Amino acid sequence: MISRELKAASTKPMILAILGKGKSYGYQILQDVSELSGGDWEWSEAMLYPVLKRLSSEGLIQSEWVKLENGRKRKYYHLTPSGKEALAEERSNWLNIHSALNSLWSELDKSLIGG
Amino acid sequence: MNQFDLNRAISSWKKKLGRHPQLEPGDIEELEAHLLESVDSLVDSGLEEEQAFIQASQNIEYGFEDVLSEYHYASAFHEPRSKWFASWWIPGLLPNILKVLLRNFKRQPGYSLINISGLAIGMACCFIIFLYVSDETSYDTFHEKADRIYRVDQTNIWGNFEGRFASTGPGIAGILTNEVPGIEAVVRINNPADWLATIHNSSNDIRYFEEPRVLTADSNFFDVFTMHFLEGTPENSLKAPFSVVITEKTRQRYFDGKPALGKSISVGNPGEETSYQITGVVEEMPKNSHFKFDLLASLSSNPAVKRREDAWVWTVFVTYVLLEEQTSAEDVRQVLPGVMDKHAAAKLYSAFGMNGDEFEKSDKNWQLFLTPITDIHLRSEGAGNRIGVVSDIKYVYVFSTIALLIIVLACINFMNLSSARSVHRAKEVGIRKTLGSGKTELIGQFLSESVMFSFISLVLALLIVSFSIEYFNQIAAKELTLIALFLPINLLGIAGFTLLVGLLAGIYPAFYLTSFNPIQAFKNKLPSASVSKLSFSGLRNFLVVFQFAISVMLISCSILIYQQLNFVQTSNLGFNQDRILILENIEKLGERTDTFKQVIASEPGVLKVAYSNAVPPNVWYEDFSTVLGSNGNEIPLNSMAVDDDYISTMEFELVSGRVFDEKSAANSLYVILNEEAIEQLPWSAESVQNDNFPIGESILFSGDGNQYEVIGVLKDFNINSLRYGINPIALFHQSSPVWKGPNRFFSIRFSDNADIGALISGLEEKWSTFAGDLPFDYTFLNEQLSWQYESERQIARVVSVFTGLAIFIAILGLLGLVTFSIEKRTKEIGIRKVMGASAGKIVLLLSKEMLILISISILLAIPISWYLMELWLQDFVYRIDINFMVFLASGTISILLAWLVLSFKTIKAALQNPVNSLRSE
Repeated sequence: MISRELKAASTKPMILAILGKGKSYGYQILQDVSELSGGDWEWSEAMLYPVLKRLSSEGLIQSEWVKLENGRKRKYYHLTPSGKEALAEERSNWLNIHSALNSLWSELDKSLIGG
Repeated sequence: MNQFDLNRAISSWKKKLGRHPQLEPGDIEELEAHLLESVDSLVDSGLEEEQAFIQASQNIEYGFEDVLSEYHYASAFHEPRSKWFASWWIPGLLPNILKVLLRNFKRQPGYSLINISGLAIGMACCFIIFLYVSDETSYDTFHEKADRIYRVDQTNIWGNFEGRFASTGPGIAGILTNEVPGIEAVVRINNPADWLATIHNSSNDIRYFEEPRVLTADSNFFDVFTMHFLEGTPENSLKAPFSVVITEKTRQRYFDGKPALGKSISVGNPGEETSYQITGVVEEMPKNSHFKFDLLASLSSNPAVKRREDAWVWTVFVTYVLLEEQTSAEDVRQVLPGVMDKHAAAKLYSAFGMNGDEFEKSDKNWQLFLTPITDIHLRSEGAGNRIGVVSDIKYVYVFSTIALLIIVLACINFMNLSSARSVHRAKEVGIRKTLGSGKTELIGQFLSESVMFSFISLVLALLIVSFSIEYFNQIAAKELTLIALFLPINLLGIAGFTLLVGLLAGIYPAFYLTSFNPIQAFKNKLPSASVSKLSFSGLRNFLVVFQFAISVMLISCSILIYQQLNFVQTSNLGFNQDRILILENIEKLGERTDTFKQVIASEPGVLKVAYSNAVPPNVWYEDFSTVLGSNGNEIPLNSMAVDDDYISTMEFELVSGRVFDEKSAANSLYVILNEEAIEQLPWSAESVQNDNFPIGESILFSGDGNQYEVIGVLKDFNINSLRYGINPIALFHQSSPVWKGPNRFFSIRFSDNADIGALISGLEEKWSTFAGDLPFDYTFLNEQLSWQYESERQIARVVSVFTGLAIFIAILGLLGLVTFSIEKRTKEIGIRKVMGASAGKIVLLLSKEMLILISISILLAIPISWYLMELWLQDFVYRIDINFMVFLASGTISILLAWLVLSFKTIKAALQNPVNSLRSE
């Protein structure tokens, strides 16, 4: 079970990265997250939608309603240019953290082995 | 068992979600779409539809309460506003305020119209007066060096050394140049007699022009004054004698606008012309210049100027100085008295028949003054302006005061009516308060409403100004345009002013009404005694009194101004000014003058014809005289040269002695004086004892140094404006050697029943046989005399127009207030009628209060207007006494007007069927 804080911090890069692959909608995004984490991460709807709303208000994503053949409607989201920039920035931040942690882990491993 | 219906379940679920105010329509649909996908996939995985729905909806709602605040946060501050919200710069409540405003307008169109139009008229008056005042104060500011140009005035040596006048002798210029440091240039301007200009364009295109607006000036004129050249250059245009610079319009008249540089103009009577060469063409002088000309010739063209270069008492010049940039006027003013003292004993004072010591002992003080060029138009301090017309700062103050009074009247009305009207809105205030409106919002609403009204009035006012400016220009003899109003600084001022008026008008109702308790407001029961307080509250009483006091003041002032003008125009001047036609340009007839006189004397309707070198009020041949053999002081003595018919034609009254003999050669030795001259001349004690005194005495006229025997005394007559007293005057015979100036006139007395049209055309016909193409110019003596009051008459016209408007505004206000108070008392009127009151009694009842107020205002207005008119009348030597009847009349007029308005409304109210009025709630 991952912490609430980590979940909150990772929603933005997660959503931006998922939308970076192409446009998507709320239900599909939840499916993707669950699939990617191998079922470890349970994002609730109540968590996802406000974030989508905030990202669109920040101008990072845009939405459009698409009518389906069965008569239903879906609200699709896609990245805006500034969303793409934000994604690149998130990516480099997370990679920095990742590599920092990586080197720490490996030092830790060595010391554990050596100790 | 009930069948599960997914659609129904979803719609009730949506309703539940909809209760969260943070969720917007789009959000709920998005969640619905999500729910459907979840249900589908759960059904796919084998759940019943109902189970799937429960699980899916629980998933969505799980933790929802926690994050709703985030929805709110995101939508309130970051979501772009939906279309149905107004733009940020329009207050959110504006549409509502506008709607309420329109409804109020529709509900009470009369009130609204009175309110708006009253304020609009007030504003329009203000704008027009603003334009007038800004034009008056802009005189001569267009000269690039205006801040360094000063006119040199001197003590009025012709008026017993009292006051100052703007003419100087040519010699002053040399003294200023040589002896006063800090002066960059001195330029003299002289106004010669009218020119008769002849233009030879070709042998069959010869044009004659009578040119009254000719000036001559020193060659450095254009170094001092700024003018734009269309042809030629400023540098050398006035250097050579007989050079002339003409204006664009003159070029149009002379040469149809074709280039004029180098062409020549013949000036003078046929046979004695002088040729002037055109050395430049300039644009017209701006209309706000204190002097204007059509032709400007070189001063050196006049040989007399060279000859009398050093003269100090030949005061026919206006002298201007341009100070150096680092010199202040104060520096020069300190040097001037010393310069005057130095030259005093040497040569100046001898001109007045005294030596320097005598002059110094006398209390006479001859000084020079500097008047900034921009002060000439409004602050000449009685010095006048010999080359143009000046006004008086007094009139600027008068008009500004009127503007202020009118706008105050209009604002008072506006406030008065707005607050009276607002009582009807007590219920509205109650409802708004119950629905949660705070005091601030209500105040905001009332204020923005009245501000909007004032801006509507502003638009209307601008329309009124644009339509009426032409009419104003006519009566005030101005050329004002609206452009000045639209300068950014003025626009800002106007907008600020309108805002202020709106706010002031809204403040009282805003704060008063919003203080109501809503429950009382609902019942239309305003705080105790407030109905009567609102209809005739102390403040409103004060406003009505104030308004009517101003109206009464304006009415009585206009009546008095008219009385005075009428007095000066019709009072006895000492001669009969009616039915005299003045024929000009007689000097151009030369030797044919006598024959022409005989010819026109036999024209039908002509009673008498007389010849003179000047006609009242333009008699300016002043020189000094004393009694022959006396060592007393000289007195300034005005003079005319006339023929033996003049005294009888003008109907002067002979007090003693006789008039000139017909065709007697001895006439040239005689003089006829008026009583004032006899009074002032320093007769010796012995001669006064003589039986025939002053007949047979002789005077020494320094104008020509000759002596003349007094043969007659005329009763005092006033040849100048009645603003001044009677001056001593001498009538010489035309055959005498006195200097007579360049002009000659015929004064033609015609009979009561003469056909004036036929008379003029007959004269013109005779004139053309004698004078050919020379211009035929005539005026009527009484017109000439009344022209000198033209500026007063303009003022009177303008004041009366604004008085009318002020009264109109006051009446509008009264109308509104009466209507209001009657509405408030509808029930009372009904009950009184039922109880047997007659319509007349009710009218009396309703108008009593107003009439009391108006009477108070009349009492207030009388002393103020009395005082103001006394100030104005002080300028006139001959003046009316202020009659109390004037105030009685203006009081009656205003009471009548007010009563008319009152009865218009009250009679209607009194005649109403009481059944209707009692049902009024």
